Amino acid sequence: MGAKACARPGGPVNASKMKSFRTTDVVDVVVVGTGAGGAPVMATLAEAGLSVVALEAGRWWDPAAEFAADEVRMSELYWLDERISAGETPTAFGGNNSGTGVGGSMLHWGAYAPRADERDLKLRTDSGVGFDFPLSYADLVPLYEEVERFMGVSGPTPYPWDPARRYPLGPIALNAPAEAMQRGFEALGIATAPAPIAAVSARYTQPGYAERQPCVGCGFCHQGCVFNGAKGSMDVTWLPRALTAGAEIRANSFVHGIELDGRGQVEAVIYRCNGQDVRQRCKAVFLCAGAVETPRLLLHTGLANSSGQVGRNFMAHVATQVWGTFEPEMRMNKGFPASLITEEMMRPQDADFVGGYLVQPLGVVPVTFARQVARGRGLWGEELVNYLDQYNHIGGIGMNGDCLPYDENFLELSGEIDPRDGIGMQKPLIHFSYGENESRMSVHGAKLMTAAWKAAGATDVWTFERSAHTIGTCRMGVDPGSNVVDAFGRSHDVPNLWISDNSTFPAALAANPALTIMALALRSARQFLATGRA
Amino acid sequence: MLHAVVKGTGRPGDVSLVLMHFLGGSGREWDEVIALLEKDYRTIALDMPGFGGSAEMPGYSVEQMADAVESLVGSLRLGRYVLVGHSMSGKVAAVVARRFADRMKGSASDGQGTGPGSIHAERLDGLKGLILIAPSPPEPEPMGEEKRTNMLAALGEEKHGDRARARAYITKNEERDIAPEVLERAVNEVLKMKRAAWVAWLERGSKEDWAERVGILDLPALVVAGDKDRSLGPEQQRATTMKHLAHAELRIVPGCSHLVPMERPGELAGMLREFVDGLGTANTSVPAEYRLLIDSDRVSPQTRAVLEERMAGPRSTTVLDAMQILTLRAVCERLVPQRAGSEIDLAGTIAARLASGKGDGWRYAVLPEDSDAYRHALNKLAESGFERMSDEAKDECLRELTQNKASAEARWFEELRGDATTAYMSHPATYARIGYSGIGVGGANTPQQGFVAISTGEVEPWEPKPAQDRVVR
Repeated sequence: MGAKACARPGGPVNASKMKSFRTTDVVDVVVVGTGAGGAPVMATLAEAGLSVVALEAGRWWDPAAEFAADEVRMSELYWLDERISAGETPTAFGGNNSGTGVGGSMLHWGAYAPRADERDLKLRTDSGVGFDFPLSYADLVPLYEEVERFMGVSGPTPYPWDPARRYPLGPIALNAPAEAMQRGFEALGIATAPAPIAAVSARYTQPGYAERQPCVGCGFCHQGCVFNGAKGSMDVTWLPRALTAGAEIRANSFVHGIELDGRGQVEAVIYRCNGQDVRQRCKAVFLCAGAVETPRLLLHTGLANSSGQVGRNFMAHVATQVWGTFEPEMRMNKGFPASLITEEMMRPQDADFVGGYLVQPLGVVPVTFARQVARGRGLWGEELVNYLDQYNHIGGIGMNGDCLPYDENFLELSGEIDPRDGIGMQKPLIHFSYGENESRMSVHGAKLMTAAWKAAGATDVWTFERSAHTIGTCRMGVDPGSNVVDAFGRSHDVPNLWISDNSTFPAALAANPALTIMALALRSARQFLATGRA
Repeated sequence: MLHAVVKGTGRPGDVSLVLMHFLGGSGREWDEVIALLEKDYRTIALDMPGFGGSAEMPGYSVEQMADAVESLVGSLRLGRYVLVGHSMSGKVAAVVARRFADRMKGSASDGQGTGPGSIHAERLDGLKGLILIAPSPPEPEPMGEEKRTNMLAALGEEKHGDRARARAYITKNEERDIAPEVLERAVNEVLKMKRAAWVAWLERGSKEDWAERVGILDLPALVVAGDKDRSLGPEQQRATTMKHLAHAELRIVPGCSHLVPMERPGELAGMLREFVDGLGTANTSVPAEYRLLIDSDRVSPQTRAVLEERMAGPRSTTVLDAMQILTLRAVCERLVPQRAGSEIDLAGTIAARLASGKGDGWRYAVLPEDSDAYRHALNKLAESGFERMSDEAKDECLRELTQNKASAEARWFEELRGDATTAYMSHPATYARIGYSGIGVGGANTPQQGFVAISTGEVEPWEPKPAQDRVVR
């Protein structure tokens, strides 16, 4: 009964003919989470003929009928089960980096889709700190190309920092903050280019889904795309493909148990749906719940942690922003929120830190912006009201910078019980403090962006320090003694347990993570097909 | 300041009731009525100079009583309210209403701005109606000299048998139908009164002639009288009080005498409720032009539904108690100053969010769960008397919270700023104020979609312009 009740499809995914497995079936693979890590795995495995059941904690959404152009209303797309944030520079969760619903946090991702910088994958080799990825950029290139082609990434060809790169669609139009960044960096003699964006700049036909319509520049990417698949979220890309190939998605299904057989292999997954526990038998499981929920589930179940590394090495990007007021109207809610990029700061010559950062313009819708002003700039009273009155004249610019892993930055179970469904799981407690490297990088970026903003004509310029994305916590690496999974995402302890999400990243990489998560998901799924069923 | 008991919270934009009492009584005469109203309304039951909790206060003339009422009302910053006068205080209420009417006429030509700076001018506009219960009229009260002499002799001077005489005064020799416990309480209140106040009213206040000064008041009014009231019943009211009110209804309570609040609390509470509800809730002033945008096909039905719900205001909840809500409201007033009478209900929105149990997905480790963090912090502010502080003292008190950035106090204050600003910024009134066009992007199934003109300085013809001039830093 449980499985049926939870499988109530809707939305853009043509799921009326969705396959339905029985809980007594021993399915080939259970995938936990339907975001950037899970959706490509589902499509790849289902297309190879495997029986795939995906368990998604969130609900089905029908964007056309349900999404509103409203930030408060759309906060339902965020993962709102409480997380506890500690450390010197506690990082924000919820809307900052975590989502829920069929499609995961990709429902509200910004679709900023740069590839990782080759040097970021081997930071330890180059600079002696952090950890290298146990794979090379050459391993990733064909996967990146495949993902970009399938998703219809829009961007400039040639790409200034990688002339060989070809994007399937031309760039997305620049809005006012992007123009200001272009102006500001030009004055500083620093190159910029339209950014790689996983939203389609023209009609795009895609297997498993109807024709995707070009982005109309509504500016609400972070609140869910309502416009007929313009933005490449999972529900209009990998999930339709997976369903067409026979995968099943069960929504409102929160996984809280994993059962092993006598040989120490996963034989079933336990999830709560409509207040009842359901047990799905399976031959293998892919955990794709993100860098907070994946380690939380492993710590809760006590599995796959002989290395003691589950939850360790939590990282978040240095995502400092600079804001300013311009004389002409900016109306930064209009157009794609971030449509420009510079990769010139990936290894700045005057850097007093290792690694580097990307810079992007920021168009932020008013409530999110006002919250930042009240919390981050600390304004209140008439100063606050007067400043918010300038909304139509304000524009921002932000960095996304590498972050090193540190022993004191980790996720653990808090001891405080989460009320969800009466399951009794503990809320996660995340410790996060910038080290010297992050602080220096933030200062470097703030200085550069302030100069660019002033050169672009901004006044009343201020800096907002923040961190973004959740990375690390189940590191991949060759040595089973110090890593949770191998170079393909397979657990060193439980051979039929795999992880595909950004918990496996040994390093944060300066690039926004989603494109790399999808590329690595394809790599994991193919490795599973090649070797995993032995 | 007059002694006053504040009950209930109401919501910004709602009408508060300022309840005043008869000669020899106190705010306690309203206890039963308040119990029926406090869930939905903010009530302020005050004691006039020389009576109840204000027994030690001097100033018994009509003029002085009006001063005292005005000063109390001003200090409470009620927003919209009605004055409810009973018998003696009915005369005072009419005088206060006249003063406010005159001042409004004076300030109307001052060219009021709409920015935070004009908040104080706006406060004059708070009086929305007048309710008079068996009032002593603006003109000298019709009272025989014999009755006056008997009353003067009956009470006030300490002498044996006071309690019996006080009881007789309240019950009028069993003519009045008052519950025993209410009667005992009323007798106790009579015995608290200063004789000087009693004498002042009987010998002078009741005889003062304010008829010409009060003139005709054109605010909404309700006059209530018991048909057994021989001195200030329906006939006397028609002949006197009603002539001063341009828009008044006279309602008669059958079988009731002069002490309506204690004799017929249920009926009277119903009448007050009806009158106040008829005044409506203050609109949080979403300008007509912006409403047209909301109703246009630029806004998707889903978006419109959200905006309409928000304009209707938050539902009241019980997650915070009255004192906590009042404190939260006082804090929000400092965080996000707004025009009095057209405020967005920031505190109510926060309380509704807390009651829903929905947070923003995380909290600082130094804080407990949201509702507990709020209760704890608001209780501390309430203990320090935050609500009654001057604006400067309030700001100082809030600044102190931020001293140690990583402390629980500072983190809570950061959360609060975020919550209050979210409630403010997400309201259509603010969208209109800043000229925000994002609601107009349409939806998947609407004819208008997204933006075409997105370059610097480009504005599409339909995009709203700010309703508020920018104050450039």
